Amino acid sequence: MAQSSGFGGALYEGLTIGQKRAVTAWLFLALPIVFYALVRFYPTAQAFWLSLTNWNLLTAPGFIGLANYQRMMVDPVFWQVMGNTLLYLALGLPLSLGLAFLIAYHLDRVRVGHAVIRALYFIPHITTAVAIAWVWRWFYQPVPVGLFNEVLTVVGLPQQPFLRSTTQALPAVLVPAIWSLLGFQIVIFLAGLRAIPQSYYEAAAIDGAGSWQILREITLPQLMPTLVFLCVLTTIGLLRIFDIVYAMTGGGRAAPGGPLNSTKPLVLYIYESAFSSFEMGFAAAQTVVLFLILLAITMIQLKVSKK
Amino acid sequence: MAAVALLNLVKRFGTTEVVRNLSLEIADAEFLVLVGPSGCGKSTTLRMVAGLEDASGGDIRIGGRLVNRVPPKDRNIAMVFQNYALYPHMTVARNMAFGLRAAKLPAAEIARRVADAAQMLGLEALLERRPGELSGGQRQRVAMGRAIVREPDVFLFDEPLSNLDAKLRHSVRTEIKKLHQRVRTTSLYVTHDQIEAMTLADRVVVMRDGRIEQVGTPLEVYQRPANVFVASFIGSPAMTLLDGVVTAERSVRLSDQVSLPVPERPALTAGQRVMLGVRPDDLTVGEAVGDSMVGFHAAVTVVEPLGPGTLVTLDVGGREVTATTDGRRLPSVGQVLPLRVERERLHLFDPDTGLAL
Repeated sequence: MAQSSGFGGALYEGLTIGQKRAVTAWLFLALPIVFYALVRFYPTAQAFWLSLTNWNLLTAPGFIGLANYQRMMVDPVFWQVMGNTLLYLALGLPLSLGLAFLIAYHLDRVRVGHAVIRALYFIPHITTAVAIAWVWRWFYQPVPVGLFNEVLTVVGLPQQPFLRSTTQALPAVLVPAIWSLLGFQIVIFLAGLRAIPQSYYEAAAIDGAGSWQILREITLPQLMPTLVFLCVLTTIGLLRIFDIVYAMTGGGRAAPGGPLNSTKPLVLYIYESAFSSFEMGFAAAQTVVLFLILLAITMIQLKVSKK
Repeated sequence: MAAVALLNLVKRFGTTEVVRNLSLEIADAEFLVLVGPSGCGKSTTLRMVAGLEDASGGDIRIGGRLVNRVPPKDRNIAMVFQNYALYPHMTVARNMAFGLRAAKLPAAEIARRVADAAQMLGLEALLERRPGELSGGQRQRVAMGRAIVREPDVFLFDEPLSNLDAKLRHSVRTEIKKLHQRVRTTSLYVTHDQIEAMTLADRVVVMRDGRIEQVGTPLEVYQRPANVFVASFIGSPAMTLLDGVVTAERSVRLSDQVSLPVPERPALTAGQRVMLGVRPDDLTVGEAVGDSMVGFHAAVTVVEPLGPGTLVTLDVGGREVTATTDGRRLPSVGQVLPLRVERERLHLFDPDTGLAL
């Protein structure tokens, strides 16, 4: 870069060391900035504009003001999928984080086979959601195919409809979703636990603290940044839940998100509005709402973590 | 308060023996310092007394009670860690009260003990701060406060000053000494710093490779080191050690020019190889006067002024000796100086066993 020939070279030579560093840094940053501007920021901004139009992919988008938002407010399906989405979050967040912490907390004390057990928990994280979904679909089948109903009948309990029930389907979809979240959460929790200095525990052992006092006064406060980080990521993940629901409830004659929209999350409804009904404006309006919810929740959680 | 006794203590990690048959008695109210180079087993010994490591063999007794299988919390000990182990999310007061809350003491009693300790250590103004807002020396005092409030039988210190800068180390060292003079709690203190060991200890235990090399008061280990290791480890700058041969006139010949008359030792025979040790503090510039002094001449190779005194390195038959001179006049390199030392201050060691003769 630092050629001493030509006008540009002379200009560069004339910069202070700090300015030269800045020039180098911006040269490295330029490519990703251009890339992100084109494939992320531009479509995001575009979505805000599209949410104010009646675009159907074929004709040019026509401005219709807030009509899409007004329609959303009175659309019972929108409210149902919003309820479903919040239910995924309300159940999935505490359950997955609680389980992951419990497992990580105990796995941290296991010396023998630690790496193998950790790998076993991590596998679902690197498995494709579709594969997980179809295996769990099989688990939920009636006898003689489904594993769970097989077990229920063996112990003398009645079979359950699982995915075919409007009340059981959502929890039934959530279970494999949580299971696939656990691997990542456990690994992060383990890293957080390992980062707590051993001398804190030694000092506590000498001071005679019980395991409950140690957990409450040392481990959990020390784990707070990890917990907030996982809360943010898991919240975003659950509010955007889509693939596992689509793969577990769709296919064949069934419309994904069923039965009767009982498992349908917001993102699936957005997908249908856009690519089944070709109502791009309506879909865009929903993405704007989702975006605002994610933004608000993330801001709140980051604010909490600052304390 | 209690005495601590270690009998044939052994610690193995796998096949590596890091503490080998260590036996030691620490009297009630005594301040005992374990000192040695890193890896000598001093911290492991301390951690076994604390109950943070299991002993692989031998007995640990605190106040006469065998505690090998007693968990740390029931040994009535308190420990100050190298990194202080203060909980960053708690205030100073809560940190100090942690052990007392664990012991479920009444709130009034906890408050009284924390206030007393804070007053003793000058921490009153810092009680509501968090460790992150304190200086290194203040954190160190909080760590001591947390130990004091428990009113334990034994204090254990694991290199508590090594995270402090040199100046602070000196002042905190003084505070630890004052504290011990006040509370008289039996203390076991681990350090790799021989100055800390000398200044703090009632008795010093010099360790190497999991074994005790010498136990004695600071002046005993300094003035009468049991072997070459202790002689070179204790004392700064280190003792000069030179190979020589005993002559018929009860002298040690260091070179063709230099032979020094040495103290009477029954074991010495003519022609025997010995190692002669002399501390730089004992070897001073000047002509020998009287019968008790021995003297020789040597050429200066390096001059290192320290202020109060000056270290002078000289050449004796191709080998280096270090001497001290007063700080007012600096000798020049190449100058031949007269040197003198009290004969009784010369140390003799067997070069094969390393033991003092």
